[in-house]
Amino acid sequence: MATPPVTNWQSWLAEHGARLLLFARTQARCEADAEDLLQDALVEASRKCDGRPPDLPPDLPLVYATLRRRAIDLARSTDRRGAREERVMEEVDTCWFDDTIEKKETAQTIDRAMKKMPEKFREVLMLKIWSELTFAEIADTLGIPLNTAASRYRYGLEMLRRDANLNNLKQQ
Amino acid sequence: MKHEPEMDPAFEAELRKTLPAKLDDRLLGRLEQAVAAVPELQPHAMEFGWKFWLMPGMAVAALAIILTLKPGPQLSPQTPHNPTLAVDATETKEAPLELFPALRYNEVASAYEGNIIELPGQQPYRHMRLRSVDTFTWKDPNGPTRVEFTVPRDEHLLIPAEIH
Repeated sequence: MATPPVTNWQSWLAEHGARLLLFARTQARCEADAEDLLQDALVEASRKCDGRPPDLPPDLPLVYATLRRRAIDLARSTDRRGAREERVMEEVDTCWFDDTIEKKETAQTIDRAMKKMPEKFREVLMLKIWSELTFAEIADTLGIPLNTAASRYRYGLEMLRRDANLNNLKQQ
Repeated sequence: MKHEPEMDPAFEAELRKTLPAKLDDRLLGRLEQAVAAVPELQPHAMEFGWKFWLMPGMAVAALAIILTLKPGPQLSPQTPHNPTLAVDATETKEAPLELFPALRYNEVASAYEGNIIELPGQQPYRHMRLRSVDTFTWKDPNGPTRVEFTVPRDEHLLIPAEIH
């Protein structure tokens, strides 16, 4: 991953914050949970960085892995509360992509397609396309074999392409 | 990007042009505040995990093995044999044990009647030999300590005899 060296949290968040939030949204059931997950994962990952200066942010794959693990824990605890309190992700239809100005239509099309996609394909696609992790890093983050990560990516990409609204993506 | 296989480079490039939604200022401020509140990390040396105890533990184990396998003091063949008793110079710090006689009894083990002894100008005597055992018991009044020792004893008697 070609990321320039970062010097402090502010620039690091400016560079990676949007990608991390995107992944957090794919893992959480609502917007509030996604924000909480992101914050908790950042704090936990920064605590795990033994020997690092406190102003130096942690490695990105570690943050993704921490975020996913916390999302699983949160989902388990939410499931225990029962269906009554279960919140649906689409309750507040926040667009996951930058839908400002000229790319609005494309962003919303991708957003809809990604939200419809099964989670196992979606999370690999998110990490590969928008987080720019390698397949090895994706496999570590999700706890799956490398070949599985690659095949899920291929299927996810195919699903996205097959989507009727994305057939003309290149022409937009 | 590293050298990763790409399934459809053109399509992937198009997808990447659509950026994730940016963090709003509220969330950005919240995250910056949260990570700033993380306490400064302790250096490695101050952690008392298993790695901290590994080296001292290994040193103690090695010392214990050396002491266990070390041969004891060997007798030198050139040392002349000295039959003198070894003196234990160590002092016992325990209180001295006080014993008091508790029981004494005598038991005749066997009796042997011997010949008649006649001496000129005296009455005859009959020789008897009694083989007996004296048993002495000493006890500590403050505890269960009990010492018992026996002394065998032969007793020769001359008993005046009357000859009818």
